Amino acid sequence: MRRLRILFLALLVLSTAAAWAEQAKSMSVNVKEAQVRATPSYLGKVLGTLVYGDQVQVLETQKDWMRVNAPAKGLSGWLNQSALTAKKVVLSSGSETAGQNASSGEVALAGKGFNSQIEAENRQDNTFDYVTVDRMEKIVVAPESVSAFLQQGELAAAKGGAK
Amino acid sequence: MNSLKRTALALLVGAMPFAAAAFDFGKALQSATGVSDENAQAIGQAAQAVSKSSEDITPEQEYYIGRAVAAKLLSTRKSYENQAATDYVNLLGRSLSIYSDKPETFGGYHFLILDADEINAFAAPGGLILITRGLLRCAISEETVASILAHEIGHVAKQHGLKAIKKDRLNKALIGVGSAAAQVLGPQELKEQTATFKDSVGDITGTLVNSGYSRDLELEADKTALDNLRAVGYDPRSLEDMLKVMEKKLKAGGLDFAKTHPDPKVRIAAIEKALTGKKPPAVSPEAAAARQARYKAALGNI
Repeated sequence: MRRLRILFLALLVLSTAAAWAEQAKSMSVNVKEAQVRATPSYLGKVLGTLVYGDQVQVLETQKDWMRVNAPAKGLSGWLNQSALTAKKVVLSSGSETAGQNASSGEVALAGKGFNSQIEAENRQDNTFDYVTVDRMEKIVVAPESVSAFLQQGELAAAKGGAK
Repeated sequence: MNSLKRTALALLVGAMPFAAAAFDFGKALQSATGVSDENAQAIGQAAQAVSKSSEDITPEQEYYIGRAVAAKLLSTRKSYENQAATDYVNLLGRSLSIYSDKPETFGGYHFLILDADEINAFAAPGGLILITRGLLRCAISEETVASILAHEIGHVAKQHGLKAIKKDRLNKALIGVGSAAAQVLGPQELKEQTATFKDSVGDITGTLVNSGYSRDLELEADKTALDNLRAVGYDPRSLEDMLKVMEKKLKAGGLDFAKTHPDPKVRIAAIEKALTGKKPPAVSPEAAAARQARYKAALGNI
């Protein structure tokens, strides 16, 4: 009887641990800005934006898309999995986004190498044209334009559902 | 207390240390050995970080490398100022990238036309893609322009640029010296890291401009392009059409695309093999005409 009870106890502890792991499926935003959408598609309505390092809870997965909840931002909706990582994002010391959730113990490797502090230094070298790069990065294509473009050309959108 | 309650209590009490051990194992180890947080981290790193590869580059680091690569290329090349043409390649590029292997990069995909007659294109890591007017003049349709962009998106999605960085630079940049947890680099460290950064950027621009990627990476970018074109609904054979035009226009021993890319014949053969037995997607005459009209309007006089 006692053995049975120990076995029962061990099983329960294990299943509790499993349930905890299941519940804690959290991921981090792995890009500068990630648009949360109403549907699992790049053509879906944008509900809001998350930034690099923001943590989300994954509620559901559909192909390449994940329905997530970001309680800190009061946002819930779909993100493409390429915008997410299972690793905890460690914000680099030189990063514009640094400071929000980086403790000194976590900064680690990110303080090294290729970051905005290095870029600031590099900008003083006039063999780099960062002005045109900044201009290039400002080019943003609206989802409605993509939808209309695909529809008119009888491309993906017209054939039902974007990736 | 009945037996059920006792079991529940035993369960709770019994589960607690398990949970605690699971959560705080690292901390417990630290306090038991007297190793500080930072030192534990540093020890962990030293043990792991014997040698770094391009896989260890984070998306954010890739972004800063890509910006520098594009900035370097743009310092000696002029951009082509034509809003309609720029908008069109960005709209087409965006339509392709959202159906690619890697729809999101840290800073996203952006496309720029270079005001140059040479036949060339460059994909900087992270998605900054430069295409010359000369290359766009080889195109004959929206589909053929799409095939160029899809090939370049393939280089970005497969992170080919990062693979060009020499290993010792990655070791220097990603392992580094001194205190790993330093919040801001000191003057000496900053100087060294900036030098390593420039050298890494030079490895990539050197590959893009002079030596080119290996034949395997080029064929991989072609294969990715075929999948991407098909996913959007374009006929993947447009890449073959594009290469056939280029084959005629490129001069052997030329200084541009011919120098950094495998012979179009080799690429065409691989594409034909990959597409054997595959039917082109159907398109109505109206949609085909609409595609051709918008291509002409944007790039007809490029």
